[in-house]
Amino acid sequence: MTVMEDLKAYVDGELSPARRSEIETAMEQDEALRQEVEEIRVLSRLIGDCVVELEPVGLSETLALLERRKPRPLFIRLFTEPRRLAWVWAMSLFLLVAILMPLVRRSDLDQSVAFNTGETASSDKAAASGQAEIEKAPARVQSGLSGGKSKAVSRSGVDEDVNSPDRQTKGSRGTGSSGYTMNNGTPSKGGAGFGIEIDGLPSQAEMQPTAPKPAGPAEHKQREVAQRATRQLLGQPPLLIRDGDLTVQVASVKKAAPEATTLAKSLGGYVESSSSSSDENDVPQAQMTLRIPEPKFDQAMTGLSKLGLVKSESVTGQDVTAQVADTEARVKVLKTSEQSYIAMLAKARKVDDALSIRDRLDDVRQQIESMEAQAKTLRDQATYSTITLALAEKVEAPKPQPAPGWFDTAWSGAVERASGLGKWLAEVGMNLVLLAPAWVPIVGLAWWLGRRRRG
Amino acid sequence: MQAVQEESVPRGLDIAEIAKQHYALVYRFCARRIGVDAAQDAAQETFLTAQRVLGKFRGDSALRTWLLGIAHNECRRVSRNRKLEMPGIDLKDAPTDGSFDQMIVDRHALSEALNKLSPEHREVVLLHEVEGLSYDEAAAVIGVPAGTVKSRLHHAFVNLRKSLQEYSGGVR
Repeated sequence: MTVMEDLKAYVDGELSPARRSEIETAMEQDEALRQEVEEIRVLSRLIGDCVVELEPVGLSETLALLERRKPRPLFIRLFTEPRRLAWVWAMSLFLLVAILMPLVRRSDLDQSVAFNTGETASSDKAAASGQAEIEKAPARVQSGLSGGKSKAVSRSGVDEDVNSPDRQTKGSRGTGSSGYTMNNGTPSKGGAGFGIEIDGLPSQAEMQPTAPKPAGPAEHKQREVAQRATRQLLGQPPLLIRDGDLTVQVASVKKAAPEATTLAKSLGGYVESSSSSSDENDVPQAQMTLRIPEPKFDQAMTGLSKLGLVKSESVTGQDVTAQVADTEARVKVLKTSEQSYIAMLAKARKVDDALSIRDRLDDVRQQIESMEAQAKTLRDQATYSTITLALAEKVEAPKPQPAPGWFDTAWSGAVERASGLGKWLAEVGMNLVLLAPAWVPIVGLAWWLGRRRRG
Repeated sequence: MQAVQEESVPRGLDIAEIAKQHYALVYRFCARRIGVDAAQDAAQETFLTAQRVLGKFRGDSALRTWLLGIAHNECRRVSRNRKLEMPGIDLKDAPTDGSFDQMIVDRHALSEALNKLSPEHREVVLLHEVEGLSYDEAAAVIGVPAGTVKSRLHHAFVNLRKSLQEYSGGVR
């Protein structure tokens, strides 16, 4: 670099000491250089002195603006500068919607499930209520029989149901469950059949065949027959239907099954059914249904329990004395009616009357057969109790796995949470990408407006 | 030349205090680059930017250099957006103290000579001769090496003297 090029820097004092001394040496030898330096110095001072010093304006506005824009936490600036941070609002809103939408949808789903469960619970409750009514019905019959109120039972169960079509309808609607239960002999589950009548549809009682009203003395006779049958039954031991369920773990199914058969036969019973199989581990199993005379039921259960280790045992019992008594009483009453119809048929003069009486007679006989079969089944069940026996050989239990340590638990938990977070982030990311056409223009516009306002 | 005192960098940086101290400097800097009309907005935006990035100021340079650097960028942005030309430099009508140096140069000739300079040359002349920045500070403000500032100043003065000589046959 020449001396001339450094003269301005020399004047400004921006040269190193070495270069400065070089320039000074050159100036001492050259008058023109000294003149140049002087001109530069004069010009430099002149520019500094002559340039107009402008009067600044806008300091107060700037200070006020600075006060307004004083750095504050973002969440405060969001409210104090909503327009400036419109893009943050837009992004927050979008993220909020992206996060809450699946939760709201899940909540709706839960509510729907809860609603359905509630409905089920309600219907369960109704069914339970119906069941309670069913269970009460035999008890009422029982108390009526034992408490000397057989007339009341006879009235609702016999007089109104069978003999009087008019009263039958009234009785069915009025007494509800007892009328229905007594009609069928066996209770049926569900609340709909108990005291609930649907307009336009015939009730259970109305669906029963109507019969011509017998004469007064015959009615009296029927009542007496029913009462006598009940009294006869109540004098006998109660009829119990008992079912036993027994699961026994034995050393060998092949040995235990014949032993169970021998035991049943020795007690006067028999094997109704039996089956044997192996499970997935080739462990032999056997299922047997044993019918044992009711008085020997306890003895059989005890004997079968000794075959091995009892894993589960349950016994259910049902007293059907009243039910059988009622059924048999009604059979007797219906037989009386049958005789009445036969007598009426013999006296019939017109063909229409004869045919009508014949129809009634057939219905009555049909009912008699049905009720006799019902009573027979109940008696049979009460005579021979049922024991369902499950035999299984002992299986070597697998060695229990050692409990995982705290590190494994913590690690698996962390991995699971990280996986969940990753899935959530991926979901949000996918939403952001897919919905980019919706939010990018908004954010871009907000950014552009912000830039424009600043610029 | 304006007397600009080198200030120490305040530790408890308060943008309001900084603005009170340096607003005039920044305003004039902006006014000489983009004109008086846009200077207020540019100066205001300079301090708003400074407020936002104040936490990043590490004190490696003087505070005024840092502020002028922000102002320089702001002026470039404004002049680009608004397509503004660098305004001419106004000189005082009469000499302040009636010295010989001021009397021998015609004000009009000097004004024309300054305005003939290229924007780059005029910029370094303003930074050094008017705002009183050293070569290093001027280099930091406009983002070029100090050697470039030195070179530009040399050529600016060569051109100035040439213009003045053409106008009146030389200063002598």
